[in-house]
Amino acid sequence: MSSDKMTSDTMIDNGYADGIKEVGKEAGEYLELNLGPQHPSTHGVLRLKLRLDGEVVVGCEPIIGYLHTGIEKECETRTYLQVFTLIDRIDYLSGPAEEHAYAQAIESLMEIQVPERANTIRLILLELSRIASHLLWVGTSALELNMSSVFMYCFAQREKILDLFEGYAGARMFPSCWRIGGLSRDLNPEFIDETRQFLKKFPRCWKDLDLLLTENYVWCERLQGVAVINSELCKQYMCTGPIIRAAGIPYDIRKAYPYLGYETYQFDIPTKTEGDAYARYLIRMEEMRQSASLIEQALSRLTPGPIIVDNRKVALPPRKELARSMEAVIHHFKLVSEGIHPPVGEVYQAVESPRGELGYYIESDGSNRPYRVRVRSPSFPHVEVLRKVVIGSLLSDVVVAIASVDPILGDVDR
Amino acid sequence: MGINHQEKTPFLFAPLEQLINWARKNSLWPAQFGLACCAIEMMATAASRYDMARFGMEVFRASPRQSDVLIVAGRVSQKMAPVLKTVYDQMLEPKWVIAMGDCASTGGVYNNYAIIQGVDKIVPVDVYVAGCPPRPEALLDCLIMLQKKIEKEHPLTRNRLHV
Amino acid sequence: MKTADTAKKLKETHPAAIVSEISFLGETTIEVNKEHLKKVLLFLKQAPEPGFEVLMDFTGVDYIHPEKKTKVIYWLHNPTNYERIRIVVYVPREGILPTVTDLWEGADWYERELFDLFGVRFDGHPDLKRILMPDDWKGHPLRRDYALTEEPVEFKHGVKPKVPSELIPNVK
Repeated sequence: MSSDKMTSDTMIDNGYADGIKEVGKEAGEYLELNLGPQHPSTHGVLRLKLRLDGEVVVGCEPIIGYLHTGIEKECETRTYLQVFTLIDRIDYLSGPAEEHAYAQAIESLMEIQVPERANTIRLILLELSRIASHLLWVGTSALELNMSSVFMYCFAQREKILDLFEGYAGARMFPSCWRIGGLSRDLNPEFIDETRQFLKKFPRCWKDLDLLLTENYVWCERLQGVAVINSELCKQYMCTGPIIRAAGIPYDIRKAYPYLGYETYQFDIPTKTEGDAYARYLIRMEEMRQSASLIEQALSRLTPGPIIVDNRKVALPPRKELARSMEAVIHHFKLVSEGIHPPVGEVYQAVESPRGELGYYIESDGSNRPYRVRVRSPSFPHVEVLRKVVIGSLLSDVVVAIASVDPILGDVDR
Repeated sequence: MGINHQEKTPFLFAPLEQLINWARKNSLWPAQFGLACCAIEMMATAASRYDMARFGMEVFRASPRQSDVLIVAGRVSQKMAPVLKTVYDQMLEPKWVIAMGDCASTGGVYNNYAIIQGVDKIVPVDVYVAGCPPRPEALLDCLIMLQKKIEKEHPLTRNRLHV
Repeated sequence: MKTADTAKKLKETHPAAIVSEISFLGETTIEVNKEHLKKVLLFLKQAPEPGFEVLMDFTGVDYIHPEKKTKVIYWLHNPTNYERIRIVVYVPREGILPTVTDLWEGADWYERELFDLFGVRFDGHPDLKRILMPDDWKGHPLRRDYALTEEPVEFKHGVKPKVPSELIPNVK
């Protein structure tokens, strides 16, 4: 109907909804459903405008922007150290990944060598946050399919990881101890023993989750064959992370562009070929086990040493020196009141976050503020691919599709 | 005008008011409005270690028409503000609002064109919880504070403490 | 093939397109003319030798000195040998670029984001409208002359209200 000029009509006129060509009904017989921003199953403030023919989805338009925080603009008005607090909360389930990607970009721009111990501790924190993020994903995805006991199991495990973060840094979700050139604090004395305790009990809990879900008839029926993203779609939509590995392409930044010494550790990249939600679930479960083994290897490699680079133009001097040396006081003053000055240029560094390729593009103009901080978020194209992938499926499969793609709306909207 | 609310309550209704307040405060049903990082801590408060169910609050209703408390957990952006007002208007009286976290209370870490500097610019807030994100214990403390506030209300007279 | 060889091959096949080439910290950045942008991207994507089949990131940077322009950046990725190259094109204010949604469907939302935050228009885009800001927002926030719109923090005892970005001033 030509008078019905809503956005969904333009969407269909422009060929977004491929399924409509087969159905051949008139526009007035469809149901427009708004899976609104405030919804229990949308993993955040995502809005989906669905056009339904009964229960079958015929058109889908995701609308984002409900969590747009203006982080990229605000980073341009802060010094390089102050930016750490802002970017922590972009991908709020894996704060360490964001901080590390940013710190890695600045460190490669300034060509700083981070000490060995700092790299190992960073790796341990990154892998712990990967396990925590995947646990939360399993818990909330199961909760949306009405399996709330899985939610309780996962959160109980996640609390143990958050206890480790709290013992190290004082904060549960955001242990923001990353600094340019290393870390701001060394491990607390109980960290290694408590982490080993956690790793001893973790396989049992993983097995519990596996028994609850992997061969579960309801879980399999709901997840198998849903939201198939094949490798061609991955290339067109720049999907990364578990999505591209479920489509058969073994692309993992930890192997492709190694950082933090990942090339010296033993771990596998799980891949599947079906590309559906069940394959992505299996990959995330396997990644949790690989992360646990990586943490075990890293703990055995911890050697005493400095945790931040020695360059006084980049890193704060230790507190003990401030009482004795005037130069240390001057360096401290300059770093806190002014900040660092990276050379003029641009750099892009990527990190494997639990969702995919998380990249930071930093452009510096030589002053103490970054000229441009661009976050290449992994979830942005993943939410975009939803509009192709849910067409032709049932309404309840839309919930499974959103869950399996694992979007974090803070990452999408920044 | 100086009207003392307590003098307005007729003598016979006082125990009835206490009963109503007791019933309301022990079964507050939150409306789900988890936006960002604070939503994760809200979920952790509802999980098994910091159990919100012992206060009667584990039932997160998806529909605002069936809930009492709106826990605004996370940063409210320009596009989300009308949605927040709509959800608040859809809730039935009596209703309370908890602004959870720094971003909902005052705009938090972010002070720019995109974030509303405090949710109390849009909806009237009863309790603010500080923290970025607030610990689950802080959220439980604020729930107990809200319960104490509800105890002091006068639901049978026309003037309630909460507008 | 390595990125340096790609730059050479690009110079041979499209000599008129390239304005400049910078190699910094192992990354190659090639600036191209607006008119030849589509041909260069098509060549880089489809010719099997460069084979940059994936557009990994698509963003922009805004400048106001010496003149007001926006730099649009295409960060291309080769999935077989993991080489990456950056193609850069400068657009003046109210400039129009050709769309790349026919090469990569996923560039759709990236172009909408560039339009929303920088004001760059794309010719041939299916549905160019705002994506992150509300639909009736005026202005393009990530331009350098758009104010951050901060609320000054109030202090007690007669201290002047301060804006957070002025606490540590910009030092060249």
